[in-house]
Amino acid sequence: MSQPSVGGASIGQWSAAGMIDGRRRTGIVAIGALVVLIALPWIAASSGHAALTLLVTRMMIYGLAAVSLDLILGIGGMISFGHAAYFGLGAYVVGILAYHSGAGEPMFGVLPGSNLVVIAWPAALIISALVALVLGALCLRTEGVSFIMITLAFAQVLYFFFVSLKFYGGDDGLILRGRNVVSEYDLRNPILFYYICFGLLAAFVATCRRLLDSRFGQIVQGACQNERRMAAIGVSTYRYKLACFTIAGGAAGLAGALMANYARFVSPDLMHWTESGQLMVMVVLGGVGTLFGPILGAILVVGLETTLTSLTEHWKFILGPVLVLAVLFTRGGLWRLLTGQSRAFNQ
Amino acid sequence: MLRVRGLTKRFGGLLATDDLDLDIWVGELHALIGPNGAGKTTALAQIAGEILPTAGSIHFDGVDISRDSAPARVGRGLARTFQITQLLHTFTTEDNVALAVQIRCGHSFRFWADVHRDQTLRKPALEYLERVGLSSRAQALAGELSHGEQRQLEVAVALATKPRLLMLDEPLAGLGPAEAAEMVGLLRRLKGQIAILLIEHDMDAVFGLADRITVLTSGRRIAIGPPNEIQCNADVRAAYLGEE
Amino acid sequence: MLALEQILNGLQFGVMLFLLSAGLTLVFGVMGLLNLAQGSLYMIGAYAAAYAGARTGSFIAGILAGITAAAAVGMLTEYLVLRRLYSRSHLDQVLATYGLILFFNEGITILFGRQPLYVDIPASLNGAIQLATGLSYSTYRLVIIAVGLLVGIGLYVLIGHTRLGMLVRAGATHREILRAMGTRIRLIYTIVFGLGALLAGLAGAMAGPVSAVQVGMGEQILILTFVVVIIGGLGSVRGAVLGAILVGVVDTLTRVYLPVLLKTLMSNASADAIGGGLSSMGVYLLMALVLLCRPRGLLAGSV
Repeated sequence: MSQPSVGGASIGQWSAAGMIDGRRRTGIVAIGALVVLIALPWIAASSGHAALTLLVTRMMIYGLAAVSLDLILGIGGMISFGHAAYFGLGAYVVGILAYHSGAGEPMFGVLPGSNLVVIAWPAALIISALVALVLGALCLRTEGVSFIMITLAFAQVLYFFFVSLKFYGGDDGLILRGRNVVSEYDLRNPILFYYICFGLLAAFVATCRRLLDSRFGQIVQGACQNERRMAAIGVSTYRYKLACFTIAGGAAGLAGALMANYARFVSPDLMHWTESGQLMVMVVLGGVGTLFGPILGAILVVGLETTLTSLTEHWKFILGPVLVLAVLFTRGGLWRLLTGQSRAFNQ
Repeated sequence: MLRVRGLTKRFGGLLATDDLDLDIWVGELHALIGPNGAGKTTALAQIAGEILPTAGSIHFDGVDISRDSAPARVGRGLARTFQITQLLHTFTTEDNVALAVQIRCGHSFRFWADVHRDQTLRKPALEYLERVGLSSRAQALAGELSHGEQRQLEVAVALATKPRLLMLDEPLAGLGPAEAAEMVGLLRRLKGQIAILLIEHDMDAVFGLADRITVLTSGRRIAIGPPNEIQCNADVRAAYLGEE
Repeated sequence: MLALEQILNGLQFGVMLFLLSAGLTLVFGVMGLLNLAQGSLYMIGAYAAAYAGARTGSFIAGILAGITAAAAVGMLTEYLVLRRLYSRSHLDQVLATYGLILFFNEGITILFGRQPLYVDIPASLNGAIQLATGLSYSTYRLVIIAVGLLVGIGLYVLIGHTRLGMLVRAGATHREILRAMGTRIRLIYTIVFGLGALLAGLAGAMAGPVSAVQVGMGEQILILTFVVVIIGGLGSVRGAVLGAILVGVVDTLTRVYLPVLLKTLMSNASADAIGGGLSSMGVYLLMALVLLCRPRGLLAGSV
């Protein structure tokens, strides 16, 4: 079966009646999460935990990247192990533009840098999407296991490429002098930045939900479930999957742009295959194909990483087996746990 | 309408289709029968474009489609159903058909409009469901349908691609008597409206419905003709009795 | 003659890739498992060999330790974890083996620290052999190539002319039939996996003197192993041979000659800056080319 799922769910739990109850729970959980996220900076500031705002900002940035991966992995059934490449690429676009704007000298002697949100962020999105288009066009000629391997390989190409760019710091990375600017607002204000990240994340998730119900979304979901059936009704799924891949790449690039602003630092590590692995873990732990789940997954993974790192520097020694156990013995991820839904339905 | 000449398929050492010639005339219901393993499904798969033949040609409406991809052939009017149903289980019955309707009327790079509100898709979908007798189950998930209903849905989806030739792979297999009767009734209603290639084991249905029958053994055609001729054909009897 | 030496270097690297990719492609062909942790077995072999070699002073002991450690860890992992993954989706396999990578990498770090280990070429193999006038080549690297040749012949005999090999060939095309054959199949799976692990460990053990032994070495070579398998065709050992030679030679040659080529075209500084990045991309361009013409790999379908 071409449909990826942790463990695989049974048809029974997709009964029409079960769905209505599930939709109610979904609504409650989704609205609850929305309320919490909107109120968080206020709660954090008034309870003296201002750092919490920063932490959750980071979670939401990864959430955006994870949801973009879920779009191709969970909805489209394309298991990409190189998604972090677009994440890192978006970050580098912002970083490089900021560098040239700060240093005063233009790129290749012609293109001026920029510190403006209106230029840097769309640039990150568009460039990531274009690279995703090119790489996706090649990768999607394969399927199954080959696809996994080739996406990984190409992501490493990008990693090595940026490592070799000594001019932009190479392995050591590039420090940004400040955050991007939108008209007179400097995004250094953590609360302003928080709400921007929140807004973008919410907008993207809403867009994806809309996509699911569109003609395009129907084909992508159909292709994920049964390629033979799709061929039998007369559609070549290649270009739709490629379009999906491109959209996801662009969104990941946008997340990268946010990350560059958040950390004020970019390095090739952002596109290392372990980052791709981490994004996958977020998607799976959160709930493959649910679109909301990966946000929970991002919160979980970033939260775990933050707390475990303070306990031991060898926390991955524990995370590894935990992940193995989770894959072997659990199904459906956090979202399923909370709402009983295993997929973002096309209804 | 469909002209297959010299169709041959070799899988390593196995000759699955052996120099097969097949003609299907406009509006006829042509049955393809033969003992198990005779290569009927393989032949169908080659005509549909799923498998690439080792040799031979396939012409549809005078056009050589031997090199066309499977989706392209559907575009020309060739539709098929599967022996093991290939449905989108998490889609509703109606959505399964609507998707086929959507492909047929083109323009699938639409990212915003909700398909579930699109009457240009909903109406035809419901009509096709009506035609196969599944209107009452339109909102059920395809995965929840009974075996017989899934078979009916397969036919509805195939019809939604507006085919000129419909190829059915054992639509009666695994059906109880009531469901089988319904399916036969459906085929009878379709007969004459479009050309049909029917692969079946149920001889009553075959002899009752077919205009002509081709008999296949070990990938080779051993007989072709109207039902009454086939019934009396000694080779055919030998093939079947020898098999049992 | 420098070119010939580089080609031999490429062959030597190719042998390493072949040892890893043969295991990877066999395991995939027979069990349908994509094993990301193959690189970890390579790393375990390297570390075990380095450790045993240093403790006993004997290089041979090191090699044996590397092989044994990798095979043992491999089969234990197969028994405990991997056999539950054979029937699961590729996503599950990827994630579980990714978890294993995290576990092994961190485990090695706990045991040996983050500093790389350096292993010397054993005295008996130190030095060079005169291959032709003007060409002398490192004895040790020649030995690696020779080992690769032996393994290749061994695998050919095993797959083509033994009962186990017959099962491997059958499993590659008809996995379900093989599974239906009953309980003996589990043992066969473990053996096949053990064989793949052994080869990975051998590669790791031999790699010590020619590359640094450090955490992460597994993943570095794993990516290239993927390229080999993609070019050669998943499930095909013959494809692994062809792919390994191609990748090994192309990678080495582009690394050496591309910067030189670039230097003739542009300034030294620019050439250095871009050359490093581009040369490591040579193999990936090759992979992209193969994919454009033959999406399934060059020798897909044959075992």
